[in-house]
Amino acid sequence: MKKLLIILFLSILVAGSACSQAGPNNQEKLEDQERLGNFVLVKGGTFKNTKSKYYGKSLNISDFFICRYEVTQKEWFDVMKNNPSEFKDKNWQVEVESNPSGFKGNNLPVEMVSWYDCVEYCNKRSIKEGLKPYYNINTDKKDLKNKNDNDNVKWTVTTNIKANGYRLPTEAEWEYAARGGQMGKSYKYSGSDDVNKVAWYWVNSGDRNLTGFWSYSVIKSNNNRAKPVGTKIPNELGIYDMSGNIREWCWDWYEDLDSNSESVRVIRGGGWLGDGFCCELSFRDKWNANSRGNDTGLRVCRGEA
Amino acid sequence: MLKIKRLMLCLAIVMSCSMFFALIGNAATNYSQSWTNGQGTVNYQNLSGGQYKVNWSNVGNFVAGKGYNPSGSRTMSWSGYASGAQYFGVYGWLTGPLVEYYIGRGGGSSKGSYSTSKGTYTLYTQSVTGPSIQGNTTFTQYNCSGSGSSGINLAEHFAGWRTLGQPVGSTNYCIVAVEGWGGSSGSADVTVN
Repeated sequence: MKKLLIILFLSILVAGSACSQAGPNNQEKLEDQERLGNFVLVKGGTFKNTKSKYYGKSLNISDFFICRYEVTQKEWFDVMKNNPSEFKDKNWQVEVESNPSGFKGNNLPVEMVSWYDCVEYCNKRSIKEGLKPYYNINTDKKDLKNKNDNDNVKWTVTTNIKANGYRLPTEAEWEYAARGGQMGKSYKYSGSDDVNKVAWYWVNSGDRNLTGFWSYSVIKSNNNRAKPVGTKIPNELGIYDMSGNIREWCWDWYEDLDSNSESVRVIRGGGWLGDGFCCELSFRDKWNANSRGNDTGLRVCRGEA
Repeated sequence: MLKIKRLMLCLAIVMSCSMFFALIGNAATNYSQSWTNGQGTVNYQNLSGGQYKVNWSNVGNFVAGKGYNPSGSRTMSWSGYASGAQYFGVYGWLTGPLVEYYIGRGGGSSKGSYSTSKGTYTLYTQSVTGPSIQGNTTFTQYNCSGSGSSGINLAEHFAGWRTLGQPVGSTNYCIVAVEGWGGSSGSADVTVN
């Protein structure tokens, strides 16, 4: 009987110890699952679509998580404590004054953010959520490979590839996800061959649908602007607005940084202001890394937890 | 009987040719809507074929026109008038690289002159950051001043720009445009061929 009680007591001790060791890991997993709620796991592989510039290349995308939505003004404010967007959520200022720690907003995407603003956001959000920052950002050291006379920032930014923090997608990752990964159906736009089903662009992003030639004067008078994220149909992976709404910064330089390089960063997806051809999945755009536009923002991704 | 068959065959050939040329003649049928930024008024009429009329008074800014998309390297010819307009000429876009062009005005740094069948033009370029057919971005604007007659061959201008070392990518739209700004008033009646 005595031996039985000792065995029982020791068993309880061991079980209790195991539970206390498992508790924090389970909690971390729960928090991570909650954090990843808006994220989609993109199963890796090679490009299936023959129209992609990556097709047939020996490029194998690893599994990664990407957010279903473009970063919203609320998400940006929660990390950066500012909202640089031109088309701010209604009552933004009132909400901030009444609740300085955050505001609800109407899920409008953040815009007027440069590529440098975006890598800063990624790191700050990682730190806020207990993740390891993905980028090393040296604001004091000019990147000597950056030959762009229009870029007066030229921070030196490198990556920690084993870090689990937030980051911009590479151009290859962006296109792979936009084309639906291994579930892709070879659409012209992300989720459809009909641009109007999946994309907000100059024709449909205002008071009335526009026809004729692209004309900024017409667009402006028609109150065209970015729309709340996720209000068009998603693509094959459940990701929204990869065609249209906000143009999205990617990690990469547009071209190799040789002596003739413009030293500009890649932008993909098209936006509410531009023409429909910019929403095509094969279209590559670019801009000075320090530039900001009311149709340019970001979508974040990260590696597996 | 044979004569009748030959006659009917000739008639069929003539009718086919008429339809073909009619289709080509009516190809210029795109336009920008009448627009006002709240200052003044603009009254635009989109008429058949390549014709449009526009009247404006005390405007802030407007642009109207007809043309082609994509333009290709076609000849743009037009007739009519634009009285009181700040700009009346050819306007279009190229991509890869992104270029906005005006053929009918100067502005920017001179890159030299080139010849066309309608006379000699001088090409000016300048960098612009702002709205474009690709969204907000930085692009180059080509401004070409010359004789400004009512017919230009885009192929000749594209070739001229290339000889001056300026890139010419893919064509997007090209219109014969009327533009007014700064409180102007006027009227235009233009037919684009």
